[in-house]
Amino acid sequence: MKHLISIEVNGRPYEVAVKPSLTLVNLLRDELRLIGTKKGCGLGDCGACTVLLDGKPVNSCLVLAVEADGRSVQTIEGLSKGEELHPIQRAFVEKGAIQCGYCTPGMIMRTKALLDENPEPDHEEIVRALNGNLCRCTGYTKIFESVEAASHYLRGETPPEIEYQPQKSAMDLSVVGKRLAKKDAPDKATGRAIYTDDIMLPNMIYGKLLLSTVPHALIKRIDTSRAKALPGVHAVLTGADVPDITWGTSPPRYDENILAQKKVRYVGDPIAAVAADDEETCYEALKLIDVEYEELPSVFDPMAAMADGAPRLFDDKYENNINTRVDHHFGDIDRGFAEADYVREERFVGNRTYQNPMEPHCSIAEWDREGRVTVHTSTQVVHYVHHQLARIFGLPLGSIRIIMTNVGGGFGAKAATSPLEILSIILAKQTGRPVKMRYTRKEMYLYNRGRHKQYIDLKIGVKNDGTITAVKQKVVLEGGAYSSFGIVTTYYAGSMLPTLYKMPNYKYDGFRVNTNLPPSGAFRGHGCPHPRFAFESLLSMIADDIGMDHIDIRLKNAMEPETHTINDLDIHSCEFTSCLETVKRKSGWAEKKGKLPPGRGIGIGCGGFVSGAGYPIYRSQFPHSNAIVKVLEDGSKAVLLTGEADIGQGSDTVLAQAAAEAMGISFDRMSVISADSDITPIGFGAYSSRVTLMGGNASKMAGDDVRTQLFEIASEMLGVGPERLVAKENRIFDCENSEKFIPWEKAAAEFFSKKGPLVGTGYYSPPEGLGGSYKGAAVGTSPAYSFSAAVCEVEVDLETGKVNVLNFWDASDCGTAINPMAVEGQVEGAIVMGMSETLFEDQRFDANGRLVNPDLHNYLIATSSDAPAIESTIVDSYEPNGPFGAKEIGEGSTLPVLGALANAIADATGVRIRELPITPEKILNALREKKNGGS
Amino acid sequence: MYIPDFQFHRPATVQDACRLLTESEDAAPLAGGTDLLVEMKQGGRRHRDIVSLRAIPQLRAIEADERALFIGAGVTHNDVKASPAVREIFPAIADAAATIGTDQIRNVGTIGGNLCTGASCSDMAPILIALGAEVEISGIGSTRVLPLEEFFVSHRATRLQRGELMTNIIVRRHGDARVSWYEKFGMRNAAAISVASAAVTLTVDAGICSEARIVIGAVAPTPKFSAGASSALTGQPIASMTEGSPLLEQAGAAAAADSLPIDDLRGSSDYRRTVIQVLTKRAVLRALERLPR
Ligand SMILES: Cc1cc2nc3c(=O)[nH]c(=O)nc-3n(C[C@H](O)[C@H](O)[C@H](O)COP(=O)(O)OP(=O)(O)OC[C@H]3O[C@@H](n4cnc5c(N)ncnc54)[C@H](O)[C@@H]3O)c2cc1C
Ligand code: FES
Ligand code: FES
Repeated sequence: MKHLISIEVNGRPYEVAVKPSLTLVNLLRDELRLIGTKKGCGLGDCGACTVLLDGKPVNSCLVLAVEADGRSVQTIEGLSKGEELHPIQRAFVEKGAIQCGYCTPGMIMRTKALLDENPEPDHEEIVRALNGNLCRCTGYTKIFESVEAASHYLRGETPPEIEYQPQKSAMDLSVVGKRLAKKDAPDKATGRAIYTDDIMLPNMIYGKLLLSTVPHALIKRIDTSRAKALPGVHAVLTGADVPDITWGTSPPRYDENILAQKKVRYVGDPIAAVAADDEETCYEALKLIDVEYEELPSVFDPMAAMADGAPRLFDDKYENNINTRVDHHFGDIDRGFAEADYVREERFVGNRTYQNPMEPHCSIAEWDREGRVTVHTSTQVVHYVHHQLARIFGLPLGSIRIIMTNVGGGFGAKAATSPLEILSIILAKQTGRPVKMRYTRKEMYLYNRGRHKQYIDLKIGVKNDGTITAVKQKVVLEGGAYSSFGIVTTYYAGSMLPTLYKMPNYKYDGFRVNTNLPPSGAFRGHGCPHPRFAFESLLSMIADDIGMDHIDIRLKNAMEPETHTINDLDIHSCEFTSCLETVKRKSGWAEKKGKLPPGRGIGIGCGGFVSGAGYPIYRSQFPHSNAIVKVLEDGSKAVLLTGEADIGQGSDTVLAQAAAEAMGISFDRMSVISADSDITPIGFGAYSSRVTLMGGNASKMAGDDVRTQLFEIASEMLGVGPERLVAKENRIFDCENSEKFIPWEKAAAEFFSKKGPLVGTGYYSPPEGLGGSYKGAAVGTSPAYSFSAAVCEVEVDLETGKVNVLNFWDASDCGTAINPMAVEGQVEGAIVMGMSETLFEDQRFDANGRLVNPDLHNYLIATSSDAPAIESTIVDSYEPNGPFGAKEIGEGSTLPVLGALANAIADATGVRIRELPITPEKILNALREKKNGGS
Repeated sequence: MYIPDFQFHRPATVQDACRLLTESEDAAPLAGGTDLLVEMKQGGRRHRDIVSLRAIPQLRAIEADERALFIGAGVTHNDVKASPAVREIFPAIADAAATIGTDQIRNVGTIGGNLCTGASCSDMAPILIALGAEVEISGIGSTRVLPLEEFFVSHRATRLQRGELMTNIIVRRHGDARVSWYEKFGMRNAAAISVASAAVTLTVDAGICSEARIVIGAVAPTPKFSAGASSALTGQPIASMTEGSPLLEQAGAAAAADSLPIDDLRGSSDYRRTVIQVLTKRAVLRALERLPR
């Protein structure tokens, strides 16, 4: 029976009849269509759904709508007055507190409650107030700054300006190198930004997947008749009803079925799909599908899976379940180790972590009468999804339109086609209606594609002076049931080690092994964080063994500019040494190292990454990035059309900055349309940290093209040869006499009047022939490499083993930072995510391969109360291959974190934990062992 | 992830609520819902009738007289935390409430819900048991009061019977000479379920601890009064309860010996035993710091 309730939302009274089981968040979103309030978990753990109920912050996913009867609710939509942002929103926008924006409405509402109650909170109060709102992107740092700034604004004061020393390479630039607020931030701050789940198409129905409940089995029989008979159900599909084609991420390893064909390989493998009027009916229908399994023996441990006689996941391929095998040897390690004065070998073990973007995946498909399908989806890689769907359905690209909405974070979780995209298309075709499919948090974990857990045997040989003579690494990657990105992951786990330190001899053996667990994939830093953690740990252990300072041993071996590495990668710009020296100075290393009291420690870790993969995922001659700039007819604005994906990292803004700089117009004249396959030219999307360099080059080229065309007209108007013209800050002038100028828009309007549309185009592909000729040489190639160093200081409770991360000092060589504020945001986010992975995160399975912590209650990620103070520096650098000298920051910034933290913990405790996550319990056990005379 | 449908009731009195709960074959009271709705969403529970306690003002009152503090079962954690009466008379109760979940959870989650869930990791139970709290339980036409310590049967099982509601938590005053502390250990700095916890109440008379009550949480099927640790300190001079002192070590070891921890995601039984010793010792020291000088 429905209940009639009266509720006041943002000052407006509503009378609504609600089902008692309806939650407040669903009332707001689905019935009142106030979609600013987000849902990240549905279980009270993330705070994305925070609204104020009678002025107090609550999780609206855990409040029944009937319980809000007679009460007042404030949501993000009620905050701004017309077009004018509320001071909190303004602060969040200006200070760079918004990346993907999915946590933002909840975060802002929580801030509102805080400042209503306490107009002048101190830092500690701010940190505490926000610890019920998880943010996976920002590392909280800029959010704290924003709350402080907001409290200033609300008290009628101006918050203190941030001091920022521009890089040398950006000194003469007008738009590039500026700390500009992101284009999308105001929409995200006001709850206006549309994410896929916010879209409700007319006549839309919902789809859901039936997932395997057993880890390994043959499907004997599926009976869907009861499900089909349920009122409200429109379609029920099994493997027999969908194309019998394998798909995946890397073409040599397409091994997933759309829906299980006879066999399931992990708890979570999709078996059937239903479409119904609403999700609740879908769930009811799923319960009515009878599946008869014939269970097979399963294997969860990669070592056991490799053994002869172990159960096989695939009968026809991957012998001994070895899905990818890499065998690389550069130089001669036997000679290298023979030349070493000191050699040490250790085993390190990583953890199975999950990206946990705050926004759950969602896809909506709709066919039109002309036989075209439009898909709205939360993806990082519009083009790869487009390509894969075209391949699966045997359609040309032109018959499918992919529109990326705002994406609430990805970190690799959304870097490939998902079953939601495929099946929403099929269900929409079957039913003739738009179909929305979305994951719950638990289903996200089951789809997974998180970090491969790696078992690493690492051996390093050094001279007495610390010079590395040889490195040998063997890695076993636990891959889960399917390949996903795994082949690439396996190569990356080896190929990136030689980019950071010079190593004359190097051997890498990689084994990716299938197990009956959810598939692992590409997670920020793709394959590299665990080997980097191992390497940074072992290097510091060796430094201790040979009596050398940890930073000195790194300086000794640090990569230099214009180096051709032992594995045939070409490094151009490299300011690694400068990064090391910066963090040494800023952290007070010399005063602290070895001098801190027991329980306190300091450690260093380093990293670096590709600025975009040198080769695409599937063989393609298309340029990797493309851009179109269309100038408005009156010259007042320019629109950048780009296929690249802004998943919160800020690429729309950064690419617009590159184009604006090239054209000579100010940033406020730019607008951006991105990632809509009908409108924007192909971009390979947000993976391998490629967007700034590649998309930036394409956008700059399109801007250059516009400027060149415009100069022809301007030259006529000014009577000055085009070679003497300069465009800057909305003027076109004679470089020899800057008083001789015309406004940019005037020239543009004149252009249109004379020649029609002013459109510029640009494209970018990495230089040809990157990399060596050995098998797998393509992985690790890139036009440019980033470098970074981080020092971490911790406090460890020696009685409980609990780690408190106090500080991080980071220095990054990302080339020219096109938007320094966005760079800092990436670094801060990576530090907190990296520390969270190092200390807390681990997917755990029971004896039947069932994930026991598929939520944010038992799988913990860092809250605001766990985040350290972060000071990051962008060092002077210029990359010849990058737009205005820019490289990457997004993924590389994760890499130094794990090692730095592990080294700091070792320094604080005197014990070395080689297995992630570094839990209090492991620390305590190691301390006990040491006390009892162990190592 | 959907809450299964139910009939919703919102009685205005305890008696009406008890009647509804008795008459239905399958009803559950709803306080803040932070436990109940999560379990229902996850498919662990469904009910034909849900009886909201929101409209019963009596459950939401905090009162104090010269004998005792009375906290209504429906008072939220944040209201407990902010209550001047609680902070003045039993600050450790306010401290414990502040350790629960997040602000969003504390604004709806209630003290009664926390106890009635009967979780061994409850953050309110240990300190309340240490303070000797009693709970008032009402049924149709009946009211009984029992020590909270006896309320818990095992993990997620309590002495509540069908048709009954917890209505009040009663904590008797003991004069100024009693100090308390709640020490919680979680896996991260906020919003963490207890791996282990220790609550301590010490009655101090002329430098002697005339009564110690130590309760350990999350290390046994229910929050547990540690007889060993309590008797170790009872009758001892507080001067000998210093950091690293044999007496404290003994109390810590006794608390560990009284625990019956399990291995789970949050830690092994071994680890929990180690941590409970540390927490017990710390809680004693911190409680002593509360003694008026
Ligand atoms: C994200 C999150 C974090 C959490 N963190 C913590 C934490 O740190 N520490 C902790 O201890 N708990 C924690 N919890 C658990 C929960 O929030 C608390 O136990 C809370 O106090 C429960 O109160 P409630 O009012 O929400 O109970 P409800 O969910 O409404 O009820 C809980 C149970 O008690 C019954 N009940 C409620 N009131 C009465 C009554 N008066 N008489 C009889 N039966 C009643 C209900 O029928 C139900 O079975 C957390 C929960 C979430 C979702
Ligand atoms: S959606 Fe409500 S707390 Fe996560
Ligand atoms: S900006 Fe906070 S989750 Fe993305």
